[in-house]
Amino acid sequence: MRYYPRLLELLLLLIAFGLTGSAFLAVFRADYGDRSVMQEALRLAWPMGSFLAAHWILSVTRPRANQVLVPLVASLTGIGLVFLYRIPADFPIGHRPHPLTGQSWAVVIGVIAMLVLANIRDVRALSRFKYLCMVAGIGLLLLTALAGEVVHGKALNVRIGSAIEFQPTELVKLLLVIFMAGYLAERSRLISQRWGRWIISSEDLRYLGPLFGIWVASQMLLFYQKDLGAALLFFGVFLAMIFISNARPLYLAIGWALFAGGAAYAYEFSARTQERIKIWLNPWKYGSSSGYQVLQGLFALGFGGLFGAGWGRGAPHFIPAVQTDFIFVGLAEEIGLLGSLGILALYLMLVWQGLSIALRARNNFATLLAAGLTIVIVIQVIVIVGGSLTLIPLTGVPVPFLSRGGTNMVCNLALIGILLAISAERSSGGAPAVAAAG
Amino acid sequence: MDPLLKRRVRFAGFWATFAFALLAAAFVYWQVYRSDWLIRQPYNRHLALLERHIRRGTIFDTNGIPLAISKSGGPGRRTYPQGSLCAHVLGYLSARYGRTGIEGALDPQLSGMGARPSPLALNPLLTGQRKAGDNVYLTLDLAAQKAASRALGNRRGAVVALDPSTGRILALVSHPSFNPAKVDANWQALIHDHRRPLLDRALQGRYQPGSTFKVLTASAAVDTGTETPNDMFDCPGYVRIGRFTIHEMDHEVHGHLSLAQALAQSCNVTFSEVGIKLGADRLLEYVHRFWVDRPLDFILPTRPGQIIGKATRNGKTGPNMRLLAIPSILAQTAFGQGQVVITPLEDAMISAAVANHGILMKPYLVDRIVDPEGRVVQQTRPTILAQPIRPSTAEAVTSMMELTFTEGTARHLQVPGLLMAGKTGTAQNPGGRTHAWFVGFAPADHPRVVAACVVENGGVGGVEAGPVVRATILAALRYRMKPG
Repeated sequence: MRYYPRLLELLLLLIAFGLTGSAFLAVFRADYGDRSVMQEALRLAWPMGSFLAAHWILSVTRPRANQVLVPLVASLTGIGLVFLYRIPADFPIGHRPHPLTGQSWAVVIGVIAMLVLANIRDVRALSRFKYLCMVAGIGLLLLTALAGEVVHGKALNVRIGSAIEFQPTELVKLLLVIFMAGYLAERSRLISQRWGRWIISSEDLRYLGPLFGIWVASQMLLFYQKDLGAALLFFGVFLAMIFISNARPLYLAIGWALFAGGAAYAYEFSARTQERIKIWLNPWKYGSSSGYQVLQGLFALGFGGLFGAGWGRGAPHFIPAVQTDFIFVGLAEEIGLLGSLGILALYLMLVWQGLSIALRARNNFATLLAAGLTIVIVIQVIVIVGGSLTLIPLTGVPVPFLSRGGTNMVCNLALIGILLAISAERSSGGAPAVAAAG
Repeated sequence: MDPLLKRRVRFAGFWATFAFALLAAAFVYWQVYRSDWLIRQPYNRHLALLERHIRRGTIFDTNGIPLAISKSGGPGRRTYPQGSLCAHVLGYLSARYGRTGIEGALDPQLSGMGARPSPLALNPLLTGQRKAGDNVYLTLDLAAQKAASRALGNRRGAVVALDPSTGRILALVSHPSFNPAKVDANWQALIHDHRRPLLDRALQGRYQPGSTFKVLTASAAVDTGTETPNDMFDCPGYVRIGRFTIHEMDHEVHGHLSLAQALAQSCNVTFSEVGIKLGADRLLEYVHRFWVDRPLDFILPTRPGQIIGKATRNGKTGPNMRLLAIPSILAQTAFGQGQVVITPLEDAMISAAVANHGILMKPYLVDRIVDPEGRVVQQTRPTILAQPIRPSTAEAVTSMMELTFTEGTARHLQVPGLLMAGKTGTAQNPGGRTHAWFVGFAPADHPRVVAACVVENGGVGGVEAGPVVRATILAALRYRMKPG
């Protein structure tokens, strides 16, 4: 250990590479066996290699940082890349693998962002920028609302120049969590309050009033952009962080009341919301129109069964948006129940690692930050996977690390970078925090 | 760090784990528990994709003669060697207009999408091991089917033939027919044809049964002890019931005759009296016992018959008993006029129960389903549907029906050396010329085939429908009498 401080990470990374490599070989044999294997493998090798590079850099700069996060993220990213590679780029005319250039660059840029953030020496310094984060966040939302390009009926993308396009809401997720962690950690009286106080004091108004104001503003902007998925995500993160900083039922009641009010408003005034609820209640009725996507997703699940159709043997192109929001369902067809539960387990391990980093953090700000960032991952998974399994009404959110989408990939990897930085400055200098993982 | 904060982070972790457990449960639900159900959904485009790689199973008649064949994968390449002969039984495969008949009812098996032995087993379709769907063997006897169709010729109508001791359907013909391979191309012509070629008259065409219904009335009268076959009646050619007068067909006068002779001569006057003596309740009870007014569990859609118009009383909808209580209507019902309508299948089933010692076997069309390796996946066993009448009643009514051939309305249809039993019917109907009916079975001492035929607006039953039934029965019997 003395000579190789991050041996566990290396071993787990090798497992992740093995997983990705075997998946690639299965897809290659099923679909593209007539091509040169080395050339095709290279498409995946360099983005995956960046994780190995990250491992070496972390060994030098942050030897004490958590050793499980990077392999978990590498596994998920690898599976996502293989699946995106497998879907023909020019379906239905030809049969050509996806070149993956854009996504690979996103992975590399994301890994660089992760490394930069992982090397922050004192995470508390971030709390100094909390108001800047808030202003930037609201500004980005405004920018999207005003200058955003409309994709699938919602204004999401902002174009810079001619080549680069990005989705500001992805970045706003991180900014929101940093702002809230900073704001709530500063009010330590709030944190030490006990359960069961129902009176709203002037203190409450002073502390939480501005927070609610900002939250309502961001919700309105998202609603204006018709981005229900992001609105749901922001709401969840907001409520969860309020709960963690102060578990008074009063605040939860206010939060849920606001949610109910917002949902009722959305249902009343947005045809999109009404449609989503209708599809959720009975997708079969709208099977050939608006419920088509959900139904195709369910059929894919049914065809997968326990063991799955096998890599390259499913029919993911039947599902609209299978490369982004519905990628988990498309994967579930090919790798079966065992595979989908495996991916779910990877996410759960990621969440447990994130929360255990929060528990060992050096100060309240770092705890709130780590917990908030972890909850961002949790809620994204619940919203999109729960939606495609018809547990909740469907709202479009990318699946972290799996879905195609550059901004999402970069921001989620940056999020992991912050978690790594927090884990490296643990309060007790004891043994490395590697719980039951791998 | 604040210990309260720590506790709440743990709490959040607990809820996150709980939410993931719910997601996992939902995955189990859709991917294992509901998997087979999802695979069979009609919206499922995966089916069409897989069908392209799987050769659809063949449909055979009872002797292994192919009726529907696919040489390669894909539903578009289906061929029907018998043309329109078995169209209503086989149904059609159309991407636009759906799947009907056996092609539709057994689609999962024929297309190889049948249930897996267990949800834990690998889906043989997806692993690519499965190349062909299951083959289906029908109970249909192509010789009988051909004979029935040829005898019916260009006339509109239907023929049903079945084995009374098992319920196996031997022939099921409905004319006019259509070419199942060309449904897509001819669709507009088919649905606008006023002769309605797509309607399966044998199972869903409801007609006034006319005098063939007397088999049921006679069975009810003998079974309840209301009459014996030897009870004597007088027929002056008409009978006045209230203000209503019932005439014999062609104003014939049958004179002094027994119940058995009345059946053989098809005497309406006698059966009017029998019906009134029997009463509406008992007649209706036997209609129910013979399954005429009940829905039938059958692989293809059937329509239950109706004895009298429906009426709603005290919130319950049922036969309009007040109408049936009117003696003149009851009398007409007893000889198959009035408001009675039944399908040819039901007409055959009434006589099948009589032919089979009073036991009504459940009719079935699919003998067995065999997988491409030759293993029998599903085998239909004969089952008893009901026992509407006692064996002694059945024997008495059989003797009465034999009289139809020896001295009654079907004398001209006798076959040397074969003892036959039957009943003619000439049903007046609002649609114009009378429907010609005939139902019969043979050999009368040990019945192996029952056949019923209706010729729509055909005329006199014994002349128009009788020869069709005889041809069908002979074809079915002769085929079986062949050595080997």
